[in-house]
Amino acid sequence: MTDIGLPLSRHPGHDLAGLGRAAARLIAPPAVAALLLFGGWEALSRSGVLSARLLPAPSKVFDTLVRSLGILMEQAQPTFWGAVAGIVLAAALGIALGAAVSYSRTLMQAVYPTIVFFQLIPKVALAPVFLLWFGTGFAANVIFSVFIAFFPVVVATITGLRAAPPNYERLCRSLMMSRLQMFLTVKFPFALPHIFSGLRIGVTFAVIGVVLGEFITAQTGLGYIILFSANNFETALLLAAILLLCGVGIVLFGFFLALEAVVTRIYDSR
Amino acid sequence: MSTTATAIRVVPPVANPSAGPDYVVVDRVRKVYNEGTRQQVEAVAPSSFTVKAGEFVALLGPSGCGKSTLLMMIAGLDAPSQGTIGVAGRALTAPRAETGIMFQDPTLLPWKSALDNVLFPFQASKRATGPTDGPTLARATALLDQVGLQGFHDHKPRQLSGGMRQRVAICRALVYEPDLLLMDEPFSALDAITRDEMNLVLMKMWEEHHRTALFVTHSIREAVYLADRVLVMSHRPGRIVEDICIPFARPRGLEIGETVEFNEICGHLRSKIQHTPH
Repeated sequence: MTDIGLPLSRHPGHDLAGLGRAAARLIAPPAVAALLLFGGWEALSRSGVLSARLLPAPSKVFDTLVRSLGILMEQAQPTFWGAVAGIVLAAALGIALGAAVSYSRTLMQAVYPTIVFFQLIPKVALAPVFLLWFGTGFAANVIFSVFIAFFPVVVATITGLRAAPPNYERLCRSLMMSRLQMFLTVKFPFALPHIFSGLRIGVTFAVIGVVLGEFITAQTGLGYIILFSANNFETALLLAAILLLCGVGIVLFGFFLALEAVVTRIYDSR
Repeated sequence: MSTTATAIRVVPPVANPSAGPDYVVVDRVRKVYNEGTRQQVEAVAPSSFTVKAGEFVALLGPSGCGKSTLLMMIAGLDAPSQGTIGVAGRALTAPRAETGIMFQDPTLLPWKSALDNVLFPFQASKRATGPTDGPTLARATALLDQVGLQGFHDHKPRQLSGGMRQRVAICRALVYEPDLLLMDEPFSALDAITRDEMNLVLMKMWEEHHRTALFVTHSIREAVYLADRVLVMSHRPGRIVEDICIPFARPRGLEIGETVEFNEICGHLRSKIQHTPH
């Protein structure tokens, strides 16, 4: 379950030259596509077809990024740590609730419709309410992030805890294992691939949640920078902040992919 | 078909002198699913039979006849709707620690090695010994060697063939030395050649670790080859329609399958399965 949609090519890889060629084949197409896109953008901006105010050239964005790196990095920190806190809390709560709901049929019947109901609410619509309840601090952004990232984790955990084929449950019961032991030794390991796919969605949601929170609380963070620069028509700064936001997302996503790779190596349920 | 010829050779169960006292007693057991609703299904019609201590009994029947349901009830994993089951002189209300079980699929944990899978039963805290206990470990390794898995103790299930996985499952069912071995079509997902091989392995293991055994299958030849006694179940709702002894001496080689007697018994059982009214 490590497939994230990237084409992974397999090759013998006996000689370095062959490895280099394979790497080139893998990297060349997206690199060329990106080069064409940014080259075209740069050319259009410089020739004046695109208004520099609305869409500054990539070189200008890069220039702004370098010049404002200090303030951007400073503002990236609350966003990054907000998203980290968001996904960690969402993972803990989501897995715990998913496990609790899977443990008891009554609890499942009682709670699951509510979970789905909340899932259906456009969560942005609740943001002003959160502002009222939790104020405009860092905590409000984290809570919003948890609220958004939590659902995919719960749903994935519930699905995952049903993944073990029924005979495993029969086996454990015939061995007179307790339900907790069955959960720890069989059900949870079998659920891990599902939980990780939930976490992969959750981690992107956590970043979205923090940025949305920052839009609304408008105090700190890259979300605030984006809001601020849009209001002041500083499009280059806005794009630079978005670029950094991408970086935050990539770091978090990469961390969870690495964690998934380690865990599924140990609990390989293929 | 010649019914007179088979009738001579088919031995009624009372004529089995080697068997001990009744070990498993199934008394008018009936199983109904979704009782009292529109979807009510009678899976097992009231059935009674006994398995004597040390006996290898095959429960033979067509797919969906309720034979697996019956086995799960004897394992204590499912409760009868009516009737009682007694094992080793006690009424069965829950799974017993002294029952070993095998399913159609090997049900191995994919992330554990063959050896760790065999030791899995010792992870249940209700067992007195832990999986790292010296004698336990020695027994597990010895079992794996006996089923021909020398050199594969550290292999993960996905690195093993289907037959090898079921061999691991046999070891797991025997490692805690159960007195009753229940098998639910354990070889039905395997190809014919592997299946013959597995029958030989099971026979060898059963002769070395003599247990009372109940083996559910839909293969007539497998039932006759393995069992001391064959019970035939009818189409759903299943009930016992035949109970015969298999007279071949042990140890049995696969070549007994070529004998006239073997094939006559198979023919008789086949007629019993086919002629049962629905």
